Amino acid sequence: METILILGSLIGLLLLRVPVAFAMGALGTVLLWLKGLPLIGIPQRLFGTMDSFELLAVPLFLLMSNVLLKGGVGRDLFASVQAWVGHWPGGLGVATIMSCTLFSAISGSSVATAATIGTVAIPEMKQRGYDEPFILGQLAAGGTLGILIPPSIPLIIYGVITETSIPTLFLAGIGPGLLMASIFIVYAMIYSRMGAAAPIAKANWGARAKATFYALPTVVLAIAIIGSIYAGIATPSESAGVGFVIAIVMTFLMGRMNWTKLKAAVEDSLKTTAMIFIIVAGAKVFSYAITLYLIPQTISSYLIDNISDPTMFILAVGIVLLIIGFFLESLSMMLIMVPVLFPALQAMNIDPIWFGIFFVVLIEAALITPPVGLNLFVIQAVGKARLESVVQGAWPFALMMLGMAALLWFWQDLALYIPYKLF
Amino acid sequence: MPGPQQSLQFALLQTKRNPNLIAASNLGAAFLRAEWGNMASILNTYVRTMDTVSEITGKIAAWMFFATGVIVSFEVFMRYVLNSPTIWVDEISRIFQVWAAYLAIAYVLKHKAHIIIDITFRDPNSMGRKGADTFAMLVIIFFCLITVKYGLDIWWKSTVSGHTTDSYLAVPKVFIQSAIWIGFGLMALQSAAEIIKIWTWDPDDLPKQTLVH
Repeated sequence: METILILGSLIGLLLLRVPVAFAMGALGTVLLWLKGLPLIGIPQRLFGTMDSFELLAVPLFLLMSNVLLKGGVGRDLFASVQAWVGHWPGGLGVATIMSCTLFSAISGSSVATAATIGTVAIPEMKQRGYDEPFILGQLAAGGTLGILIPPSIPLIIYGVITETSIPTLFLAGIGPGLLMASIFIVYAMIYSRMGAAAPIAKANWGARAKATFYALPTVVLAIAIIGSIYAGIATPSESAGVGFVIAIVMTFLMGRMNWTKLKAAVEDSLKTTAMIFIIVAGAKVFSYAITLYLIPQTISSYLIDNISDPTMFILAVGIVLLIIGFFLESLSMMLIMVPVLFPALQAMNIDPIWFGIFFVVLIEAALITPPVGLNLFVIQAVGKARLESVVQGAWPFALMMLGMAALLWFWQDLALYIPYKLF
Repeated sequence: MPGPQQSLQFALLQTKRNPNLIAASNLGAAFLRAEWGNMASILNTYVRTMDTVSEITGKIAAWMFFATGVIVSFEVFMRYVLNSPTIWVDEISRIFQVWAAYLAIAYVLKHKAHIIIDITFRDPNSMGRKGADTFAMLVIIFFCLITVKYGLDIWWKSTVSGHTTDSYLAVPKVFIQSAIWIGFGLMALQSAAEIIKIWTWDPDDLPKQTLVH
């Protein structure tokens, strides 16, 4: 009963447009006060949350990708991939997904990926006569690869709140990320075979070399980041910091950066960082309070008593997250649900790294399902289109993502092979 | 019937003599009765001041993260290239992070970049929307004031007893723990400014909800 009241109050506050971070913080405060618990725990937790070197990866990866973005990297990547695969059936569609995949390797955010590639790809595809809902849906979905392919902000946050290894989570995201990208590519090719758009002329070797020359530094940077984390040379925060400095030097050397752009990149990164951090901090206060009310434990023991089979448990979790995902923004969904579900995972013997990837795949679906799907809104804004068109184009991708989540359960090595078994 | 100025003076006098809630509420009532033009210009000045302060603290926070990126790279360079790891980068970058994160929250509020679930009260001109937005700001102020109060308690204790971090640098906690009450204090003040904006500005002039992340 207590659990329902608390969740009901949280939903009520959110519906009254209270920012998610403060809804969680204020509700947590009231809960502590009702039990007569010392409120001094609140500033202590707010302080403790930010006093973390792991979390530093969030602003530093954001700074890096924003600098690259302002340096026009999105255009380079798209032009380069297009020169290689543009003449394939559905060539521009394929190029879009490939550009999203490449950009995902330097960006940890789905919105940034969708917006960066969308700005370049949408006008190009429209001009070539691609079907509008298909273009928009593809970009909304392609953008979500940003949080599955490392680096990934949701995976950093997941690692911080569950105290699991962020490098391992990053590595576990690679397999599913690449498979998902391949599925999207195949879909683009099949879709255009059914008559969406004519392929474009094959680029000659000179054009390919030139386009690749500009995209190459970004690709090398992406490989260096993942490589250094994988080899244990640097922590995610350190490789993000180095990547950020290299990105500045690189874009300045390419003549693509100036003071105004750098300032804009630094300020944009701050907005996103502070917005993410305050939600993490608010969630910390909230989860501290609900833990003292034994709510995660109650929910876990309820789940364990009623669902003994891990497959059924994951199915139930999947359905709950899917429904919540219709309404809740993705990061908030993670910060509210993970502390609640985590104790049950251990009892069910489910690998927390695997669960992190599973969760992110479901977040991806949440990002492109209405009424609240951040990527839908971003693509609607970038493509200057109606929301209905974006949704119409995005739903097949949402189904593919759910298929992917199911596949992950039956083939867990898809995620776990690279971190645990390779080498 | 005393004029607005007299009642304001009377209430001010009363507040000096007897600084309790009744006197304060009399002062509030007198303010309400004072000429609207006067009041509006006070409110306007308050909003402009807070907006400027939040803008400045936001910029400071942004460049603190920038500096952190640079020193973290410096540490990696020192460790691998010069083979002499630093002792200060880890701690300084965490201190910067605490400060920057909390200095920025008011700036983020000003730019409407805090995440909200934007599915109810969508018409910016409706009374329902104004009411809901005001309620949201009051919830923020409530949380901020609690945080400021207890944050100040901790900070004061550390200041009086001269606590430092238990690291090699031994940074006095006075400098670190003040981030909490200063950041949330600014946030409370900015939220109050936002309430004024909700009721006195044209809804079309308010910044739109930013899509970030």
